[in-house]
Amino acid sequence: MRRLGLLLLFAALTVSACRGGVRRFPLAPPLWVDNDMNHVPERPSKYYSGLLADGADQMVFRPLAYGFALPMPGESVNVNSMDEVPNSAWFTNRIGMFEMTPEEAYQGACGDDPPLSADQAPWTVTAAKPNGANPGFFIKAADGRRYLLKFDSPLQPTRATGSDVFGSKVYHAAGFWTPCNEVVFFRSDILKIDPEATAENALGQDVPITNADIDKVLSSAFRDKNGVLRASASRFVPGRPIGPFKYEGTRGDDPNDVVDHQDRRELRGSRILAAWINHFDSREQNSLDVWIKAKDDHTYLRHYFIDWGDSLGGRWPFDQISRRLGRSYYWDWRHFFTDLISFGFIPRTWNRLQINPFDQFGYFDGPTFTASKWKGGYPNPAHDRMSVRDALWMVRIISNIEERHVRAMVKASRFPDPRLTEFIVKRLMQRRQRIFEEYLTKYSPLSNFQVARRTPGSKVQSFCFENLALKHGVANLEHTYYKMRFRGGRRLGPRENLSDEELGWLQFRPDLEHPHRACVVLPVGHRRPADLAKNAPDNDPLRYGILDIFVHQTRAVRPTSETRIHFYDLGHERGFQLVGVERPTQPILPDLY
Amino acid sequence: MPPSNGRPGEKRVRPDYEGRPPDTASAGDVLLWIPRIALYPVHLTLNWLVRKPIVWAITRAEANYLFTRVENALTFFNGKATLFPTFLADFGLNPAVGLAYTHNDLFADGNTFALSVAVWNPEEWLRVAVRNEQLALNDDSGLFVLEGEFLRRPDQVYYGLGADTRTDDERIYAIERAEVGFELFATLHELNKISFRTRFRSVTFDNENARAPALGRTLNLNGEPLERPGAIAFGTPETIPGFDDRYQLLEHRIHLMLDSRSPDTQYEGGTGLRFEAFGSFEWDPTQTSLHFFRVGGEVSAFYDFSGNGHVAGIRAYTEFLLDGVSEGEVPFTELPQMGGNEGEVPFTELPQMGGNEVMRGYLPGRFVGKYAVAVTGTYRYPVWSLLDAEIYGSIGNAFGTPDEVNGNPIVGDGSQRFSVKRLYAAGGIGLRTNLDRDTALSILFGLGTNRFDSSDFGIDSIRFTFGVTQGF
Repeated sequence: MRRLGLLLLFAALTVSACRGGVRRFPLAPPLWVDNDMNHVPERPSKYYSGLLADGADQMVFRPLAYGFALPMPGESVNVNSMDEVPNSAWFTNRIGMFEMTPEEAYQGACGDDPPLSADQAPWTVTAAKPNGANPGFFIKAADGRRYLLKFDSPLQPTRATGSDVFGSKVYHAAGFWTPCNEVVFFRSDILKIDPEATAENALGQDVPITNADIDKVLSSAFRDKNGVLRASASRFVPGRPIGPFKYEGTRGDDPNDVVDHQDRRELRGSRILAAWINHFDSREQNSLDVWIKAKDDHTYLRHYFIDWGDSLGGRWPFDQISRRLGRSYYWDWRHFFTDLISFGFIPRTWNRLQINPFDQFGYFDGPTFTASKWKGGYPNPAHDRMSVRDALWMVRIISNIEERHVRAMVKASRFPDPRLTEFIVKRLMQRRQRIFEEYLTKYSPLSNFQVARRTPGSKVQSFCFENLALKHGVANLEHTYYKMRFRGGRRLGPRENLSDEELGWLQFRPDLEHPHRACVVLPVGHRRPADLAKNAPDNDPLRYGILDIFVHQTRAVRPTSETRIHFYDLGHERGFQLVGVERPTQPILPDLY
Repeated sequence: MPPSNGRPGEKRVRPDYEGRPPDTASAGDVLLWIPRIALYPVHLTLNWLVRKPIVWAITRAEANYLFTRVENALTFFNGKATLFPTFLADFGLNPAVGLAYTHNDLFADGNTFALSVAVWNPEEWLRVAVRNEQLALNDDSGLFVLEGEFLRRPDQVYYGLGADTRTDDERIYAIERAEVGFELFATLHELNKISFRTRFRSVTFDNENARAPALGRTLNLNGEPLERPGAIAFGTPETIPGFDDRYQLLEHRIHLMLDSRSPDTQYEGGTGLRFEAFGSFEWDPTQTSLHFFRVGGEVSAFYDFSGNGHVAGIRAYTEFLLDGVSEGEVPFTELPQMGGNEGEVPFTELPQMGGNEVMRGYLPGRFVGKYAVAVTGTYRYPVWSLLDAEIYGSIGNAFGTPDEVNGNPIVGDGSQRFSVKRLYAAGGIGLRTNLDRDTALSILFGLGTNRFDSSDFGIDSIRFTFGVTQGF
């Protein structure tokens, strides 16, 4: 063992000494499509996820076993050279990548399809689940489409159905696969029981549905003053469901699944989205893998998020638990032990919370919300491995979901009182702002990088970017300025290596006319990599240049963040080509700054 | 649709997402391999021999609705009746396993019937209890209770009577007790309650059945002659009042609980005062010379300095036994001797402390005397949604033995007089459920000292308890 230790120590010193070469991006367009939709001819096996088993595993057994494995922190795997996530069977770039109208946000996964309405009567009940925590039933509308109907709890009328719809819209806008969820109103007399319909009894056995099963489900549902029932209708997604996906590992029977789920950025970053709407029930049971058929009998697995009925302030019957939702796990070892040994003197946010004036929304608060400290009901392996860069990725997506989108998506929740709508829109915007305050003031707020000709046909290129901190008002314009350092050369290093050829420096303040958007003329400085490379091939290392952008958003001398932009300089005619973006967690300054 | 880049049945090749070489490990990353390798066997063991099998078993149980099946198997009459297993572990005493059956609305609406049986070795350890509750008032604030219990245990502990007892002098005795009675229980307002109870009990001691060293013997735990038989009245069984005999008692008791705290524990604040008093008259219908009064109570003050369940409290508890009261003029300290074979109050009926309520940190029955006094300071604070931690410190003792001169337990030779230096201290930390202000399930680790004036003052008792506590 001692010999092994010495060996590793030697290896560590060797590795430390060897680190120094820059990791160049290739001269190639970013990978925007991950080909994980290859044909999967055989339906993968169904996966059963137990509620108790998963909870016990994530809260007790997994931390126990992996506490001794000392897992390495690491960045997500499926991240392209632009620090973004390619489209896949898991995720599709939507808002931010393309302009999304509020109408599109309102529609979500429903698209242009007509919504389910009582006009499509009768609604034939095909199956029911009258028992359990989330009773509901399946219906087939007159147009043949199938839905799962779920209802509100008496404790928080209209919230669960509204949040289930809102959650589906916001996750869809962000880029995830979701079902089409809608709020529907109907009278019970449009329900017709299919003679073949079955209900799942407490033992999971299918037994013929009776009117009593339907009445049982409807007995606690929300009805308006005219007796009209309110429900959320979740349209069946196309394909054959095969159970939830796991937030760790890969599916052995899906040949497309080659990235450990805990290292998928969209799953890690979904923690910030869940935090925003307090989707504390973001466990594996609220996901769904579907064996989907595309054209020409081409089949593959698509991965969906489902069920947001807990969001927007869901509560439990126990107030002590309700207050902690989103702030502490159902069983939280760390909070338990720190409170135990500190005799309870550590101030806890949940102790000073007040229930919202519209108590449907429970403790869905704004001022005390801290996204980085947000926790689901119990640990989620992918959420737990979220890095700052993963979080920033989702923050950038959320920054594109503007109030007009939020308003449209909340409108889809069809809350009965406009004051509820107004309240939840404001609260969501407040929480969104809290996310920006936390992430965009400490880490790189820069986004939307572009290299463009100043005018068509011009040889002069501009490099432009957006400062999201300024755009969303979380940074002080007076204190904000940028320092840019352009470097290249044969000995280009990843950090403050002075052996780099320093090609130029630039310092400037935001333009007051459009403070959040800045452009600089390339090259920064008087020299450019192409001058060093002369006639070297396009992908020659000498054509490589890195633009370090140090962002100052406070009075301090030290910058608040750094962003690195990687270019190939293809010469005066073809100009600079942006090939990579890096957002270090902490700025690394050169010796002379 | 993109073309496949993997052969059927094989995983596709993972794309090179960034297109550049992977980052090299830092020195810290490499050094982390030393503890990783060292701890890897532990991880493997926990992961594959603990985690995976247990999670697999729970998953299978859920998938096959095992928990529901078990629940259904133990539930009858549309959920009104339930049968469930029980396990009693009282460290230092014998454990027991059993079954409990409850049946709601059995005889009438609002009626609850309960039957429990617990057993270890049926010839030695057996408890059968039956209880029937009937709502007595329309607003559910009144309860009429009929109850009966048979208990046989071989592991009751005895340390002697009065103010000078030692844990080392622990003796064991067996007891057989049968009780039957009724109680009228009324909730006055929120946590304010009053109850009246009448009970008949018959108690028999079984010295022969006890584990050695038994109460009737003169050996200590190591089988050696007792060093201080006189001090604790051991060695001469006849000096232990009521022992080696049987007795019956009829008890009439009134119990009042006044509590200014809110019954709602969920972020309502725990500041308030609590007052509890009880008094009973107990007499032997077959032996009129045996009769006595028992009075006692507890005064508590609680201050929640955060309003969120960080509660400091202080509680003062006392209990007296008054026997042969006459004319109502004689102070209890001057009362006639309670000892003697005729009319002697059995030691099991004397005020006792230890167990889960007062002077925790000692076994039940650790302190027995003619009167008992204890003061306890507590601090409770939340550590989880449904769980509070509790730290406590107590001082107290039981005073008075029937051997006191002229039956005056306080005066006598002075050895039984109350004095701070004759107190014991106990302290501990525990966890307790916080759903109910009045009753909690608790786990507690407690320590107890010997008497303050002992030459070898120090920790004398270590105790781990799990059970129900009330009134905190």
